[in-house]
Amino acid sequence: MDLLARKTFCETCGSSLEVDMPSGFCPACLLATALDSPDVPSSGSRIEDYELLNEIARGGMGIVYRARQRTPSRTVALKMILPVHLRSSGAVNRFRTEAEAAASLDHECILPIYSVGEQDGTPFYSMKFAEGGPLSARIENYRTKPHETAALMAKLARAIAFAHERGILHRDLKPGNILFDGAGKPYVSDFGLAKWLQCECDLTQTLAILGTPFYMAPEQATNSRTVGSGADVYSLGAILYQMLTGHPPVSGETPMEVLRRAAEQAPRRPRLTNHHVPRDLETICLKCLEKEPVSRYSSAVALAEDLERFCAGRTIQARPAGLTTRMWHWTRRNRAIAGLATALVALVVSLSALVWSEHVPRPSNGLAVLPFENLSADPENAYFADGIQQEILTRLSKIGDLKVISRTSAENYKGPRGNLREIAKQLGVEYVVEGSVQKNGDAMRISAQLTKTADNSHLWADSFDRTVTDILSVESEIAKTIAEQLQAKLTRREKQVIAARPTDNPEAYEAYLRGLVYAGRTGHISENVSKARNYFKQAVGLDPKFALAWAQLARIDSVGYGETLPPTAASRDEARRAAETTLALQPDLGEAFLATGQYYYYCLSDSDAAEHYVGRARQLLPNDSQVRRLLALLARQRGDWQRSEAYFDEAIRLDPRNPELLFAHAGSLMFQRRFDEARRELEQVLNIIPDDTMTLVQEAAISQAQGDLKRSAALLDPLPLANNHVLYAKCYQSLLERSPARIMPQLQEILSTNSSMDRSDRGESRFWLGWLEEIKGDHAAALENWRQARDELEPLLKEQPEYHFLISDLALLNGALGDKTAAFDLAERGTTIVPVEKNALFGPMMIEVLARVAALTGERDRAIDSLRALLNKSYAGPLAANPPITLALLRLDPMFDSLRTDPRFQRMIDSH
Amino acid sequence: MLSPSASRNNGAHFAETAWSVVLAAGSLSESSATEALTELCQMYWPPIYAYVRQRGFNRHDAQDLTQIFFQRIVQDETLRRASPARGRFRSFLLGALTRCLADEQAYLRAVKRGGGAQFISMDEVASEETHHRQVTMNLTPADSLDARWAVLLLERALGKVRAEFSANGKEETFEALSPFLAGEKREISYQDAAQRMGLAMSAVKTHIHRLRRQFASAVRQEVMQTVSAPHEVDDELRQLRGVFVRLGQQHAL
Repeated sequence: MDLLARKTFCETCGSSLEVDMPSGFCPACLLATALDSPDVPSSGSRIEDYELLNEIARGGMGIVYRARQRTPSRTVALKMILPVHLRSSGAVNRFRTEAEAAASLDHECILPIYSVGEQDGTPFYSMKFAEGGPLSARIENYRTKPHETAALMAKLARAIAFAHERGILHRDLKPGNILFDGAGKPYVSDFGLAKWLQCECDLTQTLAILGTPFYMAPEQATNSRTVGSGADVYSLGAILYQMLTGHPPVSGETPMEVLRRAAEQAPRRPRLTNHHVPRDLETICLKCLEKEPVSRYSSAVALAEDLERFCAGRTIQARPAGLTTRMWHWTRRNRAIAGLATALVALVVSLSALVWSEHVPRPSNGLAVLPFENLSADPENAYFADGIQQEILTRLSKIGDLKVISRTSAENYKGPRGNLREIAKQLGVEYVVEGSVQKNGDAMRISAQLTKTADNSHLWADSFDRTVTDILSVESEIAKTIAEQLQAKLTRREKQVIAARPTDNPEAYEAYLRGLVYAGRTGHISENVSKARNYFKQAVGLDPKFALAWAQLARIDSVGYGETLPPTAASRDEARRAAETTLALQPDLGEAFLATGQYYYYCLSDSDAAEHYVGRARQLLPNDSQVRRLLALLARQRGDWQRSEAYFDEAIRLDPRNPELLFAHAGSLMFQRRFDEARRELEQVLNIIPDDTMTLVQEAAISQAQGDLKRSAALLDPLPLANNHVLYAKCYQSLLERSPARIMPQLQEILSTNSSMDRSDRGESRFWLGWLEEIKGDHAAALENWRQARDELEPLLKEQPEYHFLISDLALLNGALGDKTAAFDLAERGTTIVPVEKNALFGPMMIEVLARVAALTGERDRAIDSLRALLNKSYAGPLAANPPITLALLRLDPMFDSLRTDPRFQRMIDSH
Repeated sequence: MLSPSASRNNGAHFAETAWSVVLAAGSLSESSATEALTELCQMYWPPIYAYVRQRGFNRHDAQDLTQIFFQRIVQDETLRRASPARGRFRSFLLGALTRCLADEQAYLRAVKRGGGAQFISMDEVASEETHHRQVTMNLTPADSLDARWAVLLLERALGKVRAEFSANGKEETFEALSPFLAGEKREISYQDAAQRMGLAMSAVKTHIHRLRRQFASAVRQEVMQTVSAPHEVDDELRQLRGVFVRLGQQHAL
């Protein structure tokens, strides 16, 4: 065997023998032998009835050829499993069984398998040749086509459902396994093969063969033996996710890491990557990707149906992920407690599946109650029509089984309206309630009708002639009938709530209805808020036991204190009294809990208490967008921005055309520095209320934060100075532009002529005037204005020593005045009152105040260190419309002028 | 294609995707991955040892270095992650080894604190040393590593096929036909073989054809252990063959 030994090159092939083989062979020749005998047949070979034309694809598992079959004469695809995966004849038999089972699936969207065979111990099968290639090659085309995407996924889900019904799971669904024929028709291929692999090897080995499991359900990592149909639902969701976003839901360096992340991390919401993705489609996608199989769609059929609903513009069954899951947990717990004190895990799981399946079959839970028409001769009675509509809506929205669009979104369809079907589409509902009210003295005629918009059929219509004193019972009756018509299941409690009479005093009720009308209008206009508040006060004056009116009063006082009205101690006390009264009067009233939660959040910044009350409210008011909104604000305060976004989304789904809600969401996006998205949300508001002042102010603030002063000026210029927010935004604009003359004369005039300004507004205006004087070069005048501002605001702080906005204003004023000790004392007090750990929104705001104070008083190190820490943080800033500090603002804002000679500051603003 | 008998016979021992198993694992805490990596390291130490020797380390240091290098590969997650070449086991080892040897002194200090699993058999070091002395210094350490790598896996495949023949009592057949593994040789024609074995020409040709396929399959399975997916096998074979061809051409010049 040493034929070739001691030679330095091979006589046969001429290659080197310097590193020789003990056995004496030429290594290059042996390698050539190995290369000449491929594991798999080459093109041109014949396998039984097939001639192999060319290789189409090759993967860890097998190789696919385009082949010609002789009889019948046709082009087919022929898949051969790589011999390395076949360890024994048992494996060959098992593979055969699996392939034959898959071949029995006769469905229009499952790639037909023609025959299963074996050559030299290696099994193969032939199938339809899909000339359109795999989805993976065209997946990018779907990103901008959500409806096409949903339609395709619906077909695939139907195909998978068909297989599931016949006991076959796919287990390896991925874009490469979805094929298209020449006409673009989709097919699922490769059924059941992954299962065959999994009984052969352990998971790591399976993964080594299948490749990176971007589309594999997390439970496939933990226990592949208990994997059920939910795993395929997950994979469909993962494919959908990639079609919408361009990438799979999780990434990772190794297959195991991908699976681990899939089990631990929530996927980033598709809309964050691609804002074209409709909310409902996102909800469907994320429901498929739930970690727990029981939280996903109960079946591929349920998924297919929801996708079909989406395509038809109907209401989907899925609720935004996470929140729904929690709701079910709650329901589940209560049911379980009622039945069995100790529930086995398995029982709990099956119960939750029941809750879901109860949810599925009913076709009807999207409902909008549109504004009622006022047919009274006296236009003054319009509030009556509005109030009745709102009361019916409120009652229906307390039924957990219905999805009822919030008042504010329905409000947009007041007056002459277009096609009902179009309205239903915009609101995402299937059913619409319309009505009219005619009031003549004490006599009233109320008419209402329920329409199924898909075919415009009237499910129910009736009219009621009553006196004003009967109005409450009519509202109950209408709500009850609509619920019955929609086959909603009502709990005993819900039945009581629907039938409840909030007051026996018709006058109090009238005042309450009037209050509701104003409360439903844009909340950031203080006039609306004041009017609503007055009516609610009137209502509780007439009937001090009117809990619902107290709740509304508490709501409007609390939110007003936080957002619109002057934040005085008196209004805070009024909010507290109203909240306490409503809860005392009716301790099971959802509105009472919500109002109390709002009081704790807006007036006391006590998020723990707010969390507690809103939690109760959520159980009682399943369709209330305000509840979601408060949850979003609370999550944000905790620093859980992702959850906050999810709550905002759910709120917007319940109340899609509520400008206030969209406005609040835009603010939240701005705090997260997601300026473009914030701007888009503001544009939505402008679609609903064109030229809304506050919205334009907010947009201007975003432009300022981005350093686009031209744009912010253009937005602000036409706005009326009578609105304080406009005034301050224009002051800040002039400051950033360093052109004080643009606003100073008007500001001075307002200060000298407007006697209705309250202390806080006078203080704030003087603050800005001081800064304008300062950049004009009149330091003495600046100091004088700042002193006056301080004198205005200090008494307010004595009343409310923990009010962070006041602390912030006064710290900045003292800093400007050069009173270093007072400025730092206040700023530091601010950071202890709202510490970053407890308040992720305003905690960092206090750090910015500290940085500004440090810059104003020459403490450069401190200023620069604090600013550096803030630049990437999500939070609300202390000035104007509260954008967080940005590099652009650092470059422009005169308050940082003392730092400009510091090279560290220069580096900071240049480096990014 | 493989014959049914061949695919059955190859059953008992082979973790045919050993390196891809390591790559699929999120960490080596998965026992199958640790086992696979340890086994691979034990299999492929000789080329690594030769490489270290060629880099100028004396016998003892090279022995220690190789030992500790493999230990660290198995134990130290960061070393594996940092390697730029995670694709094939061979390139991966070379990448990690190059980085380790770049800091030789620190490395040798670490060696003295070593311990744990033995990747190198001391008996075999002796024979490897003899081999090392024969190697001409014309080769770069990297070429030498690749060439030895190829030789190692070819010998393993050859040994496996021989064992299969002898298990069926056909050692003589193997001895008679194995020269044909490296292609047809003038010295021993088919006819001679047919005469010596007392078989018809056509029967000999069929036997040779089967043997070549059996050997090819064994080689492929060996290579399969060191790559991440089956479709990389051919490419790895071509690359390894390319080393010998290139060296032969250099020699001819």
